[in-house]
Amino acid sequence: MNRRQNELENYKYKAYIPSRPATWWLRNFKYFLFMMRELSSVFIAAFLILFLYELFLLSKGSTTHETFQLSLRSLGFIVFYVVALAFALYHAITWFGVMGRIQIVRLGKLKVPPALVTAGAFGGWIAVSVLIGYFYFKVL
Amino acid sequence: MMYKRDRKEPFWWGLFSLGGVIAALLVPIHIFVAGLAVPLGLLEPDVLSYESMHQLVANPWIKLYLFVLLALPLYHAAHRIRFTLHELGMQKGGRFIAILCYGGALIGTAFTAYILLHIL
Amino acid sequence: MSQQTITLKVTRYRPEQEEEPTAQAYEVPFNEDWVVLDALNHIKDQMDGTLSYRWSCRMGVCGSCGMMINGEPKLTCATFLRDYYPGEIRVEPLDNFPVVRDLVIDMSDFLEKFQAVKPWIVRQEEKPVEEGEYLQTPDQLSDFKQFSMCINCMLCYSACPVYGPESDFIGPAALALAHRYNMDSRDEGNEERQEVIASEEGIWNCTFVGECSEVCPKDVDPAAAIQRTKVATTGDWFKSFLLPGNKK
Repeated sequence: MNRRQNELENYKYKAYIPSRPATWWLRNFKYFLFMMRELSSVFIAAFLILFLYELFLLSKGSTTHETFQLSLRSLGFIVFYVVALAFALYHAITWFGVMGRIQIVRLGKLKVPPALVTAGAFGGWIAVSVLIGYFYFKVL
Repeated sequence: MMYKRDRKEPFWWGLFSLGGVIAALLVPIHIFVAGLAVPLGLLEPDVLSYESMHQLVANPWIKLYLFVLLALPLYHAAHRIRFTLHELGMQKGGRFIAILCYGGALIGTAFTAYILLHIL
Repeated sequence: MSQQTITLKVTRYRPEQEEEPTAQAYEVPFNEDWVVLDALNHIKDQMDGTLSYRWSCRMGVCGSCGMMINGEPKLTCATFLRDYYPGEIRVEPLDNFPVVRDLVIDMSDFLEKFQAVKPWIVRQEEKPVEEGEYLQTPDQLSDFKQFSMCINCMLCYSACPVYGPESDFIGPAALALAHRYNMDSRDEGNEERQEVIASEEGIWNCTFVGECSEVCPKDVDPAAAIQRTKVATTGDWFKSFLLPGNKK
Protein backbone atom coordinates (compact mmCIF):
# COMPACT_ATOMS: atom_id res chain seq x y z
CA MET A 1 0.00 0.00 0.00
CA ASN A 2 1.19 3.54 -0.60
CA ARG A 3 2.62 5.78 2.08
CA ARG A 4 -0.55 7.75 2.65
CA GLN A 5 -2.68 4.65 3.17
CA ASN A 6 -0.03 3.33 5.53
CA GLU A 7 -0.09 6.55 7.56
CA LEU A 8 -3.87 6.56 7.71
CA GLU A 9 -3.95 2.93 8.85
CA ASN A 10 -1.40 3.59 11.60
CA TYR A 11 -2.74 6.95 12.77
CA LYS A 12 -4.85 6.07 15.76
CA TYR A 13 -6.96 9.17 16.01
CA LYS A 14 -9.87 10.28 13.87
CA ALA A 15 -9.51 13.50 11.92
CA TYR A 16 -12.48 15.85 12.18
CA ILE A 17 -14.15 16.23 8.80
CA PRO A 18 -15.87 19.61 8.50
CA SER A 19 -19.14 19.74 6.60
CA ARG A 20 -20.48 22.45 4.35
CA PRO A 21 -24.17 23.36 4.78
CA ALA A 22 -26.30 24.18 1.74
CA THR A 23 -26.50 27.73 3.12
CA TRP A 24 -22.74 28.27 2.82
CA TRP A 25 -23.32 31.19 0.48
CA LEU A 26 -25.03 33.17 3.24
CA ARG A 27 -21.85 33.09 5.28
CA ASN A 28 -20.35 36.24 3.84
CA PHE A 29 -21.29 39.00 1.45
CA LYS A 30 -18.97 37.95 -1.39
CA TYR A 31 -20.44 34.44 -1.51
CA PHE A 32 -23.90 36.02 -1.52
CA LEU A 33 -22.99 38.24 -4.48
CA PHE A 34 -21.71 35.17 -6.30
CA MET A 35 -25.06 33.44 -5.80
CA MET A 36 -26.85 36.56 -7.06
CA ARG A 37 -24.67 36.52 -10.14
CA GLU A 38 -25.66 32.91 -10.79
CA LEU A 39 -29.33 33.76 -10.13
CA SER A 40 -29.17 36.53 -12.72
CA SER A 41 -29.09 33.90 -15.46
CA VAL A 42 -32.54 32.66 -14.35
CA PHE A 43 -34.07 36.14 -14.64
CA ILE A 44 -32.41 36.66 -18.01
CA ALA A 45 -33.84 33.36 -19.24
CA ALA A 46 -37.27 34.27 -17.80
CA PHE A 47 -37.29 37.57 -19.66
CA LEU A 48 -36.26 35.89 -22.92
CA ILE A 49 -39.01 33.29 -22.56
CA LEU A 50 -41.50 36.11 -21.97
CA PHE A 51 -40.13 37.90 -25.03
CA LEU A 52 -40.47 34.72 -27.09
CA TYR A 53 -44.07 34.41 -25.91
CA GLU A 54 -44.73 37.99 -27.05
CA LEU A 55 -43.37 37.08 -30.48
CA PHE A 56 -45.46 33.91 -30.51
CA LEU A 57 -48.59 36.02 -29.90
CA LEU A 58 -47.84 37.89 -33.12
CA SER A 59 -49.16 34.78 -34.84
CA LYS A 60 -52.40 34.90 -32.85
CA GLY A 61 -53.77 38.07 -34.32
CA SER A 62 -53.84 41.73 -33.42
CA THR A 63 -56.35 41.60 -30.53
CA THR A 64 -54.59 38.86 -28.60
CA HIS A 65 -51.24 40.53 -29.11
CA GLU A 66 -52.43 44.00 -28.06
CA THR A 67 -54.27 42.68 -25.00
CA PHE A 68 -51.12 40.99 -23.80
CA GLN A 69 -49.01 44.09 -24.52
CA LEU A 70 -51.38 46.09 -22.33
CA SER A 71 -51.10 43.57 -19.50
CA LEU A 72 -47.31 43.98 -19.61
CA ARG A 73 -47.78 47.52 -18.37
CA SER A 74 -49.38 46.35 -15.14
CA LEU A 75 -47.53 46.83 -11.85
CA GLY A 76 -46.70 43.16 -11.53
CA PHE A 77 -44.89 43.03 -14.85
CA ILE A 78 -43.17 46.35 -14.31
CA VAL A 79 -41.75 45.03 -11.05
CA PHE A 80 -40.56 41.94 -12.92
CA TYR A 81 -38.89 44.06 -15.59
CA VAL A 82 -37.17 46.24 -12.99
CA VAL A 83 -35.86 43.19 -11.12
CA ALA A 84 -34.85 41.47 -14.36
CA LEU A 85 -33.06 44.60 -15.55
CA ALA A 86 -31.18 44.88 -12.24
CA PHE A 87 -30.04 41.26 -12.54
CA ALA A 88 -29.17 41.67 -16.24
CA LEU A 89 -27.07 44.75 -15.45
CA TYR A 90 -25.34 42.89 -12.63
CA HIS A 91 -24.58 40.03 -15.00
CA ALA A 92 -23.15 42.41 -17.61
CA ILE A 93 -21.05 44.33 -15.09
CA THR A 94 -19.56 41.16 -13.58
CA TRP A 95 -19.07 39.63 -17.04
CA PHE A 96 -17.25 42.55 -18.65
CA GLY A 97 -15.54 43.37 -15.36
CA VAL A 98 -13.34 40.28 -15.60
CA MET A 99 -12.50 40.58 -19.29
CA GLY A 100 -9.16 42.22 -18.58
CA ARG A 101 -8.07 39.41 -16.26
CA ILE A 102 -9.01 36.61 -18.62
CA GLN A 103 -8.53 37.77 -22.17
CA ILE A 104 -4.99 38.73 -23.06
CA VAL A 105 -5.10 41.05 -26.04
CA ARG A 106 -2.00 41.57 -28.10
CA LEU A 107 -1.39 44.36 -30.59
CA GLY A 108 1.61 43.03 -32.44
CA LYS A 109 4.19 42.40 -29.73
CA LEU A 110 2.55 44.60 -27.12
CA LYS A 111 0.21 43.31 -24.45
CA VAL A 112 -2.76 45.62 -23.93
CA PRO A 113 -3.01 46.55 -20.23
CA PRO A 114 -5.90 44.66 -18.56
CA ALA A 115 -7.64 47.87 -17.48
CA LEU A 116 -7.83 48.95 -21.13
CA VAL A 117 -9.26 45.61 -22.22
CA THR A 118 -11.97 45.92 -19.57
CA ALA A 119 -12.66 49.52 -20.58
CA GLY A 120 -12.94 48.40 -24.19
CA ALA A 121 -15.43 45.69 -23.26
CA PHE A 122 -17.60 48.13 -21.33
CA GLY A 123 -17.30 50.67 -24.14
CA GLY A 124 -18.45 48.07 -26.65
CA TRP A 125 -21.41 47.20 -24.44
CA ILE A 126 -22.51 50.82 -24.15
CA ALA A 127 -22.09 51.34 -27.89
CA VAL A 128 -24.22 48.30 -28.75
CA SER A 129 -26.90 49.31 -26.24
CA VAL A 130 -27.03 52.83 -27.65
CA LEU A 131 -27.31 51.39 -31.17
CA ILE A 132 -30.24 49.16 -30.27
CA GLY A 133 -31.90 51.92 -28.28
CA TYR A 134 -31.50 54.26 -31.23
CA PHE A 135 -33.08 51.64 -33.48
CA TYR A 136 -36.13 51.44 -31.24
CA PHE A 137 -36.46 55.10 -30.36
CA LYS A 138 -35.66 56.72 -33.68
CA VAL A 139 -35.88 54.19 -36.51
CA LEU A 140 -39.07 52.31 -35.70
CA MET B 1 -6.71 8.88 -8.79
CA MET B 2 -6.94 8.39 -12.56
CA TYR B 3 -7.81 11.56 -14.40
CA LYS B 4 -9.32 11.57 -17.85
CA ARG B 5 -9.78 14.61 -20.07
CA ASP B 6 -13.48 15.39 -20.45
CA ARG B 7 -14.51 15.56 -24.11
CA LYS B 8 -18.02 17.00 -23.59
CA GLU B 9 -17.56 19.86 -21.13
CA PRO B 10 -15.74 22.22 -23.54
CA PHE B 11 -18.78 22.18 -25.82
CA TRP B 12 -21.21 23.22 -23.09
CA TRP B 13 -18.78 25.72 -21.63
CA GLY B 14 -18.34 27.24 -25.08
CA LEU B 15 -22.10 27.67 -25.43
CA PHE B 16 -22.29 29.00 -21.87
CA SER B 17 -19.62 31.54 -22.73
CA LEU B 18 -21.24 32.64 -25.98
CA GLY B 19 -24.62 32.83 -24.30
CA GLY B 20 -23.10 34.92 -21.56
CA VAL B 21 -21.66 37.43 -24.01
CA ILE B 22 -25.03 37.77 -25.77
CA ALA B 23 -26.83 38.07 -22.45
CA ALA B 24 -24.42 40.73 -21.19
CA LEU B 25 -24.32 42.70 -24.43
CA LEU B 26 -27.93 42.67 -25.59
CA VAL B 27 -30.32 41.69 -22.82
CA PRO B 28 -30.19 44.79 -20.59
CA ILE B 29 -31.19 47.19 -23.37
CA HIS B 30 -33.90 44.80 -24.59
CA ILE B 31 -35.40 44.51 -21.11
CA PHE B 32 -35.47 48.28 -20.91
CA VAL B 33 -37.09 48.75 -24.29
CA ALA B 34 -39.53 45.86 -24.02
CA GLY B 35 -40.72 46.50 -20.50
CA LEU B 36 -39.87 49.93 -19.16
CA ALA B 37 -39.54 52.42 -22.02
CA VAL B 38 -43.30 52.62 -22.65
CA PRO B 39 -44.41 52.91 -19.00
CA LEU B 40 -41.73 55.56 -18.51
CA GLY B 41 -43.20 57.51 -21.42
CA LEU B 42 -39.98 57.36 -23.44
CA LEU B 43 -41.41 55.23 -26.22
CA GLU B 44 -44.69 55.42 -28.10
CA PRO B 45 -46.73 52.25 -27.45
CA ASP B 46 -47.46 51.81 -31.16
CA VAL B 47 -43.77 51.11 -31.82
CA LEU B 48 -44.39 47.77 -30.09
CA SER B 49 -47.80 47.32 -31.71
CA TYR B 50 -48.97 44.31 -33.69
CA GLU B 51 -48.50 45.96 -37.09
CA SER B 52 -45.09 47.41 -36.27
CA MET B 53 -43.67 44.24 -34.71
CA HIS B 54 -45.16 41.89 -37.30
CA GLN B 55 -43.53 43.90 -40.07
CA LEU B 56 -40.21 43.97 -38.25
CA VAL B 57 -40.07 40.25 -37.49
CA ALA B 58 -40.88 39.32 -41.09
CA ASN B 59 -37.35 40.35 -42.00
CA PRO B 60 -35.01 37.31 -42.13
CA TRP B 61 -32.06 39.25 -40.66
CA ILE B 62 -34.25 40.25 -37.72
CA LYS B 63 -35.20 36.59 -37.34
CA LEU B 64 -31.52 35.64 -37.21
CA TYR B 65 -30.80 38.36 -34.64
CA LEU B 66 -33.77 37.26 -32.53
CA PHE B 67 -32.68 33.63 -32.72
CA VAL B 68 -29.22 34.53 -31.40
CA LEU B 69 -30.71 36.77 -28.71
CA LEU B 70 -33.31 34.26 -27.53
CA ALA B 71 -31.58 30.90 -27.88
CA LEU B 72 -27.95 31.33 -26.83
CA PRO B 73 -28.48 32.77 -23.34
CA LEU B 74 -30.59 29.67 -22.58
CA TYR B 75 -27.35 27.65 -22.57
CA HIS B 76 -25.79 30.22 -20.30
CA ALA B 77 -28.66 29.86 -17.84
CA ALA B 78 -28.72 26.05 -18.17
CA HIS B 79 -25.02 25.82 -17.33
CA ARG B 80 -25.30 28.16 -14.35
CA ILE B 81 -28.38 26.40 -13.01
CA ARG B 82 -26.70 23.01 -13.39
CA PHE B 83 -23.63 24.03 -11.38
CA THR B 84 -25.58 26.05 -8.80
CA LEU B 85 -27.73 23.01 -8.01
CA HIS B 86 -24.50 21.07 -7.55
CA GLU B 87 -23.19 23.73 -5.16
CA LEU B 88 -26.43 23.85 -3.21
CA GLY B 89 -25.88 20.26 -2.20
CA MET B 90 -27.23 18.22 -5.10
CA GLN B 91 -24.01 16.34 -5.77
CA LYS B 92 -25.70 13.06 -6.57
CA GLY B 93 -27.54 12.78 -9.88
CA GLY B 94 -25.22 15.25 -11.58
CA ARG B 95 -25.68 13.56 -14.92
CA PHE B 96 -29.46 13.69 -14.61
CA ILE B 97 -29.37 17.37 -13.68
CA ALA B 98 -27.09 18.11 -16.64
CA ILE B 99 -29.47 16.35 -19.03
CA LEU B 100 -32.40 18.28 -17.55
CA CYS B 101 -30.66 21.64 -17.85
CA TYR B 102 -29.10 21.35 -21.30
CA GLY B 103 -32.17 19.46 -22.50
CA GLY B 104 -34.30 22.40 -21.42
CA ALA B 105 -32.05 24.76 -23.36
CA LEU B 106 -32.27 22.54 -26.45
CA ILE B 107 -36.06 22.44 -26.20
CA GLY B 108 -36.12 26.22 -25.83
CA THR B 109 -33.91 26.53 -28.90
CA ALA B 110 -36.25 24.31 -30.88
CA PHE B 111 -39.28 26.37 -29.82
CA THR B 112 -37.50 29.59 -30.75
CA ALA B 113 -36.55 28.31 -34.19
CA TYR B 114 -40.05 26.96 -34.77
CA ILE B 115 -41.77 30.20 -33.78
CA LEU B 116 -39.42 32.38 -35.79
CA LEU B 117 -39.41 30.25 -38.91
CA HIS B 118 -42.85 28.68 -39.14
CA ILE B 119 -45.21 30.92 -37.30
CA LEU B 120 -43.96 34.40 -38.05
CA MET C 1 -0.13 52.06 32.22
CA SER C 2 -1.50 48.54 32.40
CA GLN C 3 -1.05 46.13 29.51
CA GLN C 4 -3.99 46.09 27.11
CA THR C 5 -5.29 42.66 26.25
CA ILE C 6 -7.25 41.02 23.48
CA THR C 7 -9.16 37.76 23.52
CA LEU C 8 -8.46 34.96 21.08
CA LYS C 9 -11.05 32.22 20.68
CA VAL C 10 -8.97 29.32 19.45
CA THR C 11 -10.25 25.98 18.16
CA ARG C 12 -9.09 23.00 20.16
CA TYR C 13 -9.45 19.46 18.90
CA ARG C 14 -7.96 16.63 20.88
CA PRO C 15 -9.21 13.49 19.14
CA GLU C 16 -8.04 11.31 22.02
CA GLN C 17 -10.53 12.99 24.33
CA GLU C 18 -13.28 14.58 22.24
CA GLU C 19 -15.47 13.88 19.21
CA GLU C 20 -15.68 17.44 17.92
CA PRO C 21 -13.64 20.62 18.02
CA THR C 22 -14.36 23.14 20.78
CA ALA C 23 -13.34 26.76 21.29
CA GLN C 24 -10.99 27.89 24.02
CA ALA C 25 -10.59 31.54 24.98
CA TYR C 26 -7.18 33.01 25.74
CA GLU C 27 -6.57 36.56 26.90
CA VAL C 28 -3.27 37.66 25.40
CA PRO C 29 -1.35 40.94 25.63
CA PHE C 30 -2.25 43.40 22.91
CA ASN C 31 0.70 45.03 21.14
CA GLU C 32 0.42 47.39 18.15
CA ASP C 33 2.97 45.45 16.15
CA TRP C 34 1.83 41.92 17.00
CA VAL C 35 0.34 39.58 14.45
CA VAL C 36 -1.95 36.65 15.30
CA LEU C 37 1.06 34.32 15.08
CA ASP C 38 2.77 36.32 17.84
CA ALA C 39 -0.34 35.85 19.98
CA LEU C 40 -0.38 32.09 19.27
CA ASN C 41 3.32 31.81 20.11
CA HIS C 42 2.66 33.73 23.34
CA ILE C 43 -0.12 31.26 24.21
CA LYS C 44 2.14 28.29 23.46
CA ASP C 45 5.16 29.67 25.31
CA GLN C 46 3.50 31.30 28.32
CA MET C 47 -0.01 30.02 28.77
CA ASP C 48 -0.80 26.64 27.24
CA GLY C 49 1.91 24.48 25.79
CA THR C 50 -0.57 21.92 24.50
CA LEU C 51 -1.78 24.13 21.65
CA SER C 52 -0.75 22.70 18.24
CA TYR C 53 -0.36 24.76 15.06
CA ARG C 54 1.95 25.16 12.08
CA TRP C 55 4.25 28.09 11.36
CA SER C 56 7.73 28.71 10.08
CA CYS C 57 9.13 31.81 8.40
CA ARG C 58 6.77 34.31 10.10
CA MET C 59 7.15 36.61 7.10
CA GLY C 60 4.67 35.39 4.52
CA VAL C 61 6.83 33.29 2.22
CA CYS C 62 6.61 29.72 3.51
CA GLY C 63 2.84 29.22 3.45
CA SER C 64 2.73 27.25 6.72
CA CYS C 65 0.61 29.42 9.01
CA GLY C 66 -2.71 29.63 7.14
CA MET C 67 -5.77 29.63 9.44
CA MET C 68 -9.31 31.00 9.55
CA ILE C 69 -9.34 34.40 11.28
CA ASN C 70 -12.92 35.49 12.01
CA GLY C 71 -14.09 33.22 9.24
CA GLU C 72 -11.59 34.37 6.59
CA PRO C 73 -8.59 32.36 5.47
CA LYS C 74 -5.43 34.32 6.28
CA LEU C 75 -1.75 33.89 7.06
CA THR C 76 -1.47 34.40 10.81
CA CYS C 77 1.97 35.95 10.33
CA ALA C 78 0.44 38.65 8.17
CA THR C 79 -2.71 39.38 10.19
CA PHE C 80 -2.36 42.17 12.73
CA LEU C 81 -4.13 42.14 16.10
CA ARG C 82 -4.67 45.88 15.82
CA ASP C 83 -7.06 45.38 12.89
CA TYR C 84 -9.43 43.48 15.21
CA TYR C 85 -8.76 45.17 18.58
CA PRO C 86 -10.64 45.54 20.86
CA GLY C 87 -12.94 42.86 19.43
CA GLU C 88 -12.43 39.14 19.80
CA ILE C 89 -10.40 37.16 17.28
CA ARG C 90 -11.66 33.72 16.29
CA VAL C 91 -8.80 31.44 15.23
CA GLU C 92 -9.94 28.24 13.51
CA PRO C 93 -8.20 25.61 11.38
CA LEU C 94 -8.19 26.15 7.60
CA ASP C 95 -11.65 25.40 6.19
CA ASN C 96 -12.34 22.50 3.82
CA PHE C 97 -9.62 20.27 5.26
CA PRO C 98 -9.79 17.42 7.80
CA VAL C 99 -8.59 18.62 11.20
CA VAL C 100 -5.86 16.48 12.71
CA ARG C 101 -5.43 18.35 15.98
CA ASP C 102 -6.25 21.88 17.17
CA LEU C 103 -5.26 24.16 14.28
CA VAL C 104 -3.39 21.52 12.28
CA ILE C 105 -5.08 20.24 9.12
CA ASP C 106 -4.42 17.24 6.93
CA MET C 107 -2.99 18.55 3.66
CA SER C 108 -2.28 15.23 1.98
CA ASP C 109 -5.20 15.62 -0.44
CA PHE C 110 -3.77 18.92 -1.63
CA LEU C 111 -0.30 17.39 -2.05
CA GLU C 112 -1.71 14.51 -4.12
CA LYS C 113 -3.61 16.83 -6.44
CA PHE C 114 -0.65 19.17 -6.62
CA GLN C 115 1.62 16.37 -7.85
CA ALA C 116 -1.02 15.13 -10.29
CA VAL C 117 -0.73 18.24 -12.49
CA LYS C 118 2.99 17.63 -13.07
CA PRO C 119 4.28 20.93 -11.69
CA TRP C 120 7.69 20.77 -13.36
CA ILE C 121 9.19 21.49 -16.77
CA VAL C 122 8.22 18.64 -19.09
CA ARG C 123 10.41 18.19 -22.17
CA GLN C 124 9.98 15.67 -25.00
CA GLU C 125 13.76 15.57 -25.04
CA GLU C 126 16.02 17.06 -22.43
CA LYS C 127 18.42 19.65 -23.77
CA PRO C 128 22.01 18.45 -23.16
CA VAL C 129 24.10 20.63 -20.87
CA GLU C 130 26.61 21.39 -23.66
CA GLU C 131 23.86 23.18 -25.60
CA GLY C 132 23.64 25.73 -22.85
CA GLU C 133 20.74 27.17 -20.87
CA TYR C 134 17.19 27.80 -22.06
CA LEU C 135 16.87 31.41 -23.16
CA GLN C 136 13.76 33.32 -22.20
CA THR C 137 12.85 36.93 -22.91
CA PRO C 138 11.33 39.16 -20.20
CA ASP C 139 8.11 39.06 -22.23
CA GLN C 140 8.05 35.25 -22.12
CA LEU C 141 8.72 35.39 -18.38
CA SER C 142 5.83 37.77 -17.87
CA ASP C 143 3.47 35.19 -19.41
CA PHE C 144 3.75 32.97 -16.35
CA LYS C 145 5.60 34.84 -13.60
CA GLN C 146 2.51 35.86 -11.66
CA PHE C 147 1.37 32.23 -11.42
CA SER C 148 4.77 31.10 -10.15
CA MET C 149 4.48 33.13 -6.95
CA CYS C 150 2.36 30.52 -5.15
CA ILE C 151 3.61 29.59 -1.68
CA ASN C 152 1.24 26.62 -1.30
CA CYS C 153 -0.46 28.17 1.71
CA MET C 154 -3.83 26.64 0.69
CA LEU C 155 -5.85 29.72 1.64
CA CYS C 156 -7.42 29.44 -1.82
CA TYR C 157 -8.62 25.90 -1.08
CA SER C 158 -10.30 27.17 2.07
CA ALA C 159 -11.97 30.00 0.21
CA CYS C 160 -13.24 27.78 -2.60
CA PRO C 161 -16.85 26.61 -2.09
CA VAL C 162 -16.38 23.81 -4.62
CA TYR C 163 -13.42 22.21 -2.87
CA GLY C 164 -13.98 20.22 0.31
CA PRO C 165 -13.03 17.00 2.12
CA GLU C 166 -15.55 15.03 0.02
CA SER C 167 -14.73 16.85 -3.21
CA ASP C 168 -12.58 15.54 -6.05
CA PHE C 169 -11.93 19.05 -7.32
CA ILE C 170 -8.24 19.51 -8.05
CA GLY C 171 -8.39 23.04 -6.71
CA PRO C 172 -7.13 26.56 -7.41
CA ALA C 173 -3.42 26.37 -6.52
CA ALA C 174 -2.79 23.12 -8.41
CA LEU C 175 -4.63 24.38 -11.50
CA ALA C 176 -2.86 27.75 -11.34
CA LEU C 177 0.48 25.98 -11.16
CA ALA C 178 -0.43 23.79 -14.14
CA HIS C 179 -1.15 26.99 -16.03
CA ARG C 180 2.20 28.41 -14.90
CA TYR C 181 4.01 25.51 -16.54
CA ASN C 182 1.79 25.46 -19.60
CA MET C 183 2.66 29.11 -20.21
CA ASP C 184 6.38 28.60 -19.65
CA SER C 185 8.17 28.76 -23.01
CA ARG C 186 10.60 26.05 -21.87
CA ASP C 187 7.80 23.57 -21.19
CA GLU C 188 6.38 21.00 -23.62
CA GLY C 189 3.97 19.27 -21.25
CA ASN C 190 0.65 20.95 -22.15
CA GLU C 191 -0.87 17.82 -23.72
CA GLU C 192 0.10 15.63 -20.75
CA ARG C 193 -1.33 18.10 -18.28
CA GLN C 194 -4.56 18.43 -20.26
CA GLU C 195 -5.57 14.88 -19.31
CA VAL C 196 -5.50 15.96 -15.67
CA ILE C 197 -6.60 19.58 -15.67
CA ALA C 198 -9.25 19.26 -18.40
CA SER C 199 -10.89 16.39 -16.57
CA GLU C 200 -14.22 16.66 -14.76
CA GLU C 201 -12.32 17.13 -11.50
CA GLY C 202 -10.17 19.86 -12.98
CA ILE C 203 -11.12 23.16 -14.54
CA TRP C 204 -14.70 22.12 -15.34
CA ASN C 205 -15.67 21.93 -11.67
CA CYS C 206 -14.75 25.56 -11.18
CA THR C 207 -17.64 28.03 -11.30
CA PHE C 208 -15.49 31.16 -11.08
CA VAL C 209 -16.58 32.24 -7.63
CA GLY C 210 -13.27 34.08 -7.55
CA GLU C 211 -12.74 33.93 -3.79
CA CYS C 212 -9.50 32.02 -4.28
CA SER C 213 -7.92 35.04 -5.93
CA GLU C 214 -9.39 37.37 -3.31
CA VAL C 215 -7.65 35.59 -0.42
CA CYS C 216 -4.33 34.82 -2.12
CA PRO C 217 -1.56 36.58 -0.20
CA LYS C 218 0.73 36.51 -3.25
CA ASP C 219 -1.67 37.86 -5.91
CA VAL C 220 -1.39 34.70 -7.96
CA ASP C 221 -4.97 35.02 -9.26
CA PRO C 222 -5.71 31.30 -9.64
CA ALA C 223 -9.24 32.13 -10.83
CA ALA C 224 -7.80 33.89 -13.88
CA ALA C 225 -5.47 30.95 -14.54
CA ILE C 226 -8.41 28.54 -14.51
CA GLN C 227 -10.63 30.68 -16.74
CA ARG C 228 -7.79 31.16 -19.24
CA THR C 229 -7.30 27.39 -19.27
CA LYS C 230 -11.02 26.94 -19.93
CA VAL C 231 -10.84 29.37 -22.85
CA ALA C 232 -7.76 27.66 -24.31
CA THR C 233 -9.18 24.14 -23.87
CA THR C 234 -12.53 25.14 -25.37
CA GLY C 235 -10.83 26.89 -28.26
CA ASP C 236 -8.76 23.79 -28.98
CA TRP C 237 -11.86 21.60 -28.77
CA PHE C 238 -13.79 23.67 -31.31
CA LYS C 239 -10.74 23.90 -33.58
CA SER C 240 -10.27 20.12 -33.56
CA PHE C 241 -13.96 19.73 -34.27
CA LEU C 242 -14.14 22.23 -37.10
CA LEU C 243 -10.70 21.50 -38.60
CA PRO C 244 -10.49 17.69 -38.58
CA GLY C 245 -6.85 17.71 -39.62
CA ASN C 246 -5.95 19.26 -36.29
CA LYS C 247 -5.65 16.36 -33.89
CA LYS C 248 -5.86 17.44 -30.27
